[in-house]
Amino acid sequence: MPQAWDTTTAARLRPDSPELEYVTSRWQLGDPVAFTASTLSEISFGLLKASMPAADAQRGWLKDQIAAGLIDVLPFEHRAADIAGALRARIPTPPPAPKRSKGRSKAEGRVAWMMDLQTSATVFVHGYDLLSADAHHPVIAKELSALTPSTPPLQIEAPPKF
Amino acid sequence: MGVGDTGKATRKPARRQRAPRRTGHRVQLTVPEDMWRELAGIARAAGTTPNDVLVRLASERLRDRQRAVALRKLADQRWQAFADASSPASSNGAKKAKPLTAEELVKLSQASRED
Repeated sequence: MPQAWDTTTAARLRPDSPELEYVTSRWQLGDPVAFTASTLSEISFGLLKASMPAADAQRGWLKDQIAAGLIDVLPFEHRAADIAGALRARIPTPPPAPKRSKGRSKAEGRVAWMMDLQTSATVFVHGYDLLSADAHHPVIAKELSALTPSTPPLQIEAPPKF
Repeated sequence: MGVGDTGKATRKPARRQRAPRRTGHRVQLTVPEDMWRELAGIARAAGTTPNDVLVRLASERLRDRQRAVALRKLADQRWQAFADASSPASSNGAKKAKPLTAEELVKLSQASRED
């Protein structure tokens, strides 16, 4: 099944990494890995905000890989937007976490939740499955199944051990 | 065979490049000249025949197409399931409802920023 990576998985892609080997092998088999536009937005934001030469280099490298077709970027288009809105209407705020993750404020947690909703909706409507270790995505996938019981569900796979 | 050719070969002809043996449907086809030149160039670089390159390229394109068709089918199926389940027309009373004012609509759209 075609595979999209969520942000925490996608962010690990870098030169000379096992992740790159994996992505390259999928590309060679004609089944390239995809990121969502929302994921790319999160990664770009983080790298630009860091304002470091190494982060600039990584952003340039990632853009080159996308331009070369190694990674597909799935657009957040009208269908994904409609589904993400419906999901948010059903679950407006993130499920309570046992402890505040990564030192996030409540506001940051909500932004992350919006991005997760957008990512799941995008992956779902483009016919992909999602590779993610994030605890939010199984919750969202369950809600998607409730919204669309007659269709194959969004599968959430744990990332392989690279 | 040209005039004056004795028919006796004085040197071995260059060995023809052979493609990997395949089983399947044999077919004769006309390939546009410019395409054939490109195929021949790729074949020379890869140490194989233009026919082999042609089959490999077709095979890759077919694989890509099959993937795209399967993706599109699942994507459409998922979208249709959502559209059917969430169609505004399926909501009770939607057709009879009084239209919202512009102010009400703006307020509703802002809810996304307030939750």
